[in-house]
Amino acid sequence: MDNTTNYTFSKFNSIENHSRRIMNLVKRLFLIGTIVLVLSITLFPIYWMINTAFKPKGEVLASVPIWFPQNPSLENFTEVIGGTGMAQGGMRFFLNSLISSSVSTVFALIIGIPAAYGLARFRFKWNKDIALWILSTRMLPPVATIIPVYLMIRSLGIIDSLIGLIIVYTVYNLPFVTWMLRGFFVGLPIGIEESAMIDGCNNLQAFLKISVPLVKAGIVVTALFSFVFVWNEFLYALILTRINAQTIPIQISSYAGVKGVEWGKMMALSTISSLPSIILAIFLQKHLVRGLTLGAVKE
Amino acid sequence: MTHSSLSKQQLKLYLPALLFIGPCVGYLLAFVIFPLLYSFILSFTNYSLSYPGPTIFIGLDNYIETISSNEFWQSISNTAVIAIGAVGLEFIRGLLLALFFNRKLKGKNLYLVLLVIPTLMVPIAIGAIWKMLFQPYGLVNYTLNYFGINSIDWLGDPSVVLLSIIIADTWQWTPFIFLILLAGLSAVPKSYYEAAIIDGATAWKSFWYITLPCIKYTIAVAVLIRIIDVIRFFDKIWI
Repeated sequence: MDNTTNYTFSKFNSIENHSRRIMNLVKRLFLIGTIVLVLSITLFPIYWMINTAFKPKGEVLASVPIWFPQNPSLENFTEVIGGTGMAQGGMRFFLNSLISSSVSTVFALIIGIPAAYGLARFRFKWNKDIALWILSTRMLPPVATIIPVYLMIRSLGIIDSLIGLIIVYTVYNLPFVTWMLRGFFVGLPIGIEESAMIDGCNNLQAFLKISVPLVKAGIVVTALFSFVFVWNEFLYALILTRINAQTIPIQISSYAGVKGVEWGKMMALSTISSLPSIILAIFLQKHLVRGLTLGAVKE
Repeated sequence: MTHSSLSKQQLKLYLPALLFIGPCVGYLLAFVIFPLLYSFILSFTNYSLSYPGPTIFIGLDNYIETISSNEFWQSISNTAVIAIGAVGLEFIRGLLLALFFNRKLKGKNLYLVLLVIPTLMVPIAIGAIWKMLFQPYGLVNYTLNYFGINSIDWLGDPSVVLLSIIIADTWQWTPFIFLILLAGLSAVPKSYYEAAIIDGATAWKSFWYITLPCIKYTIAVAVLIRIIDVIRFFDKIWI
């Protein structure tokens, strides 16, 4: 009697174990399948870009797609970097992108850091209104202001120059920098600064010697984001440059000419231009959400 | 006497604020608000970049002409279709992905980095990639033909073009919504769900009554930012 119950129990148990194992297997397969599907949807277009970039001219438009480059060649890359495009003179547009992105980021930080600190720390009337107003300028469609901005830059005589681009890109990033850093400054305990002020620091010293070093990490994150935002920017660069100050996005679009699209070169330059973004994604993993929402959502 | 000492005190309070915030506000006034007002004023004149004649005040003529033109209403409806279609799809895909990835997973960080790349890439490059895929003899049509479906004129047919734009935009921006919602989801305390299970709630019920209310604010932020961006985007359509 005892034996039989024991037997049925263990049998039941093993069946249950068995089905649970199958369920687990199904669950795992489902997990892996979903991940593979999601990743391939996301990564395939990127793979296709790189694939096309390495194809020699004849293979790009083959009627049966060539899934892996059979004769990988660097000709697209060398031609893109060699500068046979609109921006004559080698890697000028590459340098233009690099300079305008980094210098405007530095300017935006110089103007934005004190403003962010001021908005986070000083209590005065309209404090929140000014902060919101600064954010709202970022939400404005650039098309709404582009013609007057163009006229202003033209009257200053700096159309198609890096200075013009840098001025405009500083405006472009200023709201972002201010909002991001305001969030970081608000997160600092005020006690540290107060004790510094008791020790005889004034506002400026407390700001420069205590607060700024404490949000160093935040400043780096903000700087990297604003670099990539400018790196990706297209409309202002399109309107405000002709030949000399062309940036990478403009150069990419210039391969789609009236005579047809030079896909190979276009994809080669797209591949090069995507490198900073990929590096950013790796370095900024933990801060991506905060950066992309202008600091509205914190992780 | 009292008045002057008060204003001195006020000055002491406001001066640092002015020095810290002033440059930022001034810069934005000069390069955002001034151009905006300029745009506004130009909108009442016959000014044109290409015609050098005298600029005169013409009242609301530009507005009337714009509103009565077909292109204007067409562009409004196009924008609305793209905004609703793209943001809707991005939200649904993003939410499903976020629910899926909101668990312990080996190599999760690697997946997240890979998934977020489209959002950070140069938008023009993305436009170029999709334009290439949507070519009449491009990869998308090749795949459709392979499964016995006729080619679609993705870039030429006006009603299909909107769909192409929505697909490209969804590809680029789903990771953005996904990441934000994932951050929102991971902030929901686990104990809520444990309590719900004890009370016998189904998975759907705990999603509807716990998850959604908890990430309400996050959803609002994500969708709002996306709608604002979609309405003003330009580069993908340009290419």
